[in-house]
Amino acid sequence: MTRIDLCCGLGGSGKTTTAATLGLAHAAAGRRAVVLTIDPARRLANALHLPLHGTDPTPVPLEGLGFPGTLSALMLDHTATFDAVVRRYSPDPETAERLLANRYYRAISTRLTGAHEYMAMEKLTELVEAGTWDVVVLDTPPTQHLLDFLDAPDRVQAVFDRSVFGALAEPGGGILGLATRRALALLERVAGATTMGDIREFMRLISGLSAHFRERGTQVRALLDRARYLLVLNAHAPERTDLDGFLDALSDRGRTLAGLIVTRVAAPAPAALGPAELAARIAGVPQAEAWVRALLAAREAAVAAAQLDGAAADRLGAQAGLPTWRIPDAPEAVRTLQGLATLVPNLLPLAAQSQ
Amino acid sequence: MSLFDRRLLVITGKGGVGRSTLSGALALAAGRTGRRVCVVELAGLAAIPPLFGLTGRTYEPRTVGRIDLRGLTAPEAVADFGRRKLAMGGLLRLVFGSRITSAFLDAVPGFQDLVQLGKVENLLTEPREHEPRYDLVILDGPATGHGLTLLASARAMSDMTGGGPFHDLSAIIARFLSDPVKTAIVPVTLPEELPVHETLELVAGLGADRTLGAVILNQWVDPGFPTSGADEVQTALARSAPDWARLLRTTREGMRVQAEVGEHLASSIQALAGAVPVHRVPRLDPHNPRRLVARLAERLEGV
Repeated sequence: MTRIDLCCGLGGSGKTTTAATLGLAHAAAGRRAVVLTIDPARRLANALHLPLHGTDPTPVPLEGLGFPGTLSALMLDHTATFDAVVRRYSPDPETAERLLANRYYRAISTRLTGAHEYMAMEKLTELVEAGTWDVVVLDTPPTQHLLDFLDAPDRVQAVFDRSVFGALAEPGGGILGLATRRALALLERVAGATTMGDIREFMRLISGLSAHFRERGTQVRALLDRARYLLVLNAHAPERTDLDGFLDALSDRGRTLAGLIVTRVAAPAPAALGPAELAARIAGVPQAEAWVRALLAAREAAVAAAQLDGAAADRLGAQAGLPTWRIPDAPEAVRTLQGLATLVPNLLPLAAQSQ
Repeated sequence: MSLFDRRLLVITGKGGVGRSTLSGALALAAGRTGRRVCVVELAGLAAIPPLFGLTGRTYEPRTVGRIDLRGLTAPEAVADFGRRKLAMGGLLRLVFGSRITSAFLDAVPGFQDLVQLGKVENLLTEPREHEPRYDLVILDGPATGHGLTLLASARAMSDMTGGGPFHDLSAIIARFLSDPVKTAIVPVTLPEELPVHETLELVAGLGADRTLGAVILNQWVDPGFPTSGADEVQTALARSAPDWARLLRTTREGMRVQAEVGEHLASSIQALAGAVPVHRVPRLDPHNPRRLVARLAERLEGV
């Protein structure tokens, strides 16, 4: 059965780089891995040799790294994914084309709250169903709230639920009660008749796909039940993530966190040298005295950073009572695949764990 | 014109650039000029309170010194809107009370943004009797991409609806946001490739009726290295103390990238938006948020 590793975290936490590194670590552990990523930085996309557009995973060339497994990567194009769902599951091609051309569909497919998360789930399900992967690493979309993606299937299902929205498709209100009909009439007055016309057509057309959305919702919930949840935190800004709140919200949904990954942990500072020792090592350079002072200050800052980042990682791990993996601060590493591979040892034990 | 002479500052930027920290620091700096300031977060976020020693979020204000903190959510703003427009109270209850229409409203792109912006605009132009009169509201906006959507939501809603309460509300907000005397956009960015790229995309996408107040370049690193001799020191250390050589090399590489993207940012902002100041603030110890905000506020006095 395909394993699922879910990387949660706020924007700026290093989540996407972590997902890529974890994918590489799975390949290093001998698995056929695929990383589903959302909007990676261009440098990271280049490092993974990831094409900008595509709906299928692309193999990442791992030659020379000596990894026994394989890695593929896919960048989620949510609009293309939504369009593909419409084409594939509409009852007939004409319905699909009219839906794709509908103004409200165009707005909703990119901006509806939860649409990005839902499409990530749609793709995740496809990858698991394909049966060709040992593990899918999912880089979750940058949401306002860490757990938005967990609720996305329910939210999107609610929108497409015929019992609510089918009603809007019927001009006279059909079986609706008087209060609802009055509310709709008022809504039509404030929203404008053209808008409502577009929305009615959309609702009528999308109702043909409701069976698909219902079935997918059930499948996605089953996948989310057995996924391994990992929380990615930036060592420089741990207070941005409300860790206790996240743990509570996760357990409210019947899921548990498997561990924390703390990114951008400062590299160890150089071994201590006194001013005289340092001066002897750079004797003869211009402005030698000023350099000794500046280097000592730079080391002091590096010591403080390493100590603070290390302490932050320790504190977070203790607070969550969970294992913590650390990824060092290495901005240059994400530029190349070889650079990313240098980070793999940090996550290898996590990848090698049996689930 | 000082940033603080405006009524509303919308702080935007990519996740992790320090948007909330800078929102807090700007509020502190503005408060020190004697202004009554309110910092507002949207969508139930609560990143600002910890900067002032508080936790959680409240719709009603909490006061710290001269600064009020508020965290809005769409449902609370909708309820507030209904109470405020008393004439509409009954009708609004009808619309929002219906399962069908409220599900519809949740699905309308931009609706949630709009009602929260409506509250912000109300705070400034027609505060309720018990509410303080704010000189300045600092809105800790969403991450860049969504930031533009947020700013555009009022115009989009006003175009989409021909008349009625939503139309009136959105038209008022759209006017307020596009008034250069009242509102300014303040993107926060880092001296790194990707955040700068995103900031320039945001500025290019602002359009003629948005005013860029300033750009804040956060986490600028200045190790205070002497002006000459770096290569010689590098060579000497490579032989005698390789771990020190590594520290020097990574620090210099960081400074080189920083100078490059900082220059690119300044010249591109000049080309896109004219004489808009780019304020550099230093990278400081992030592990003590309260001290961090206080020290950044010192750097932002007089902006």
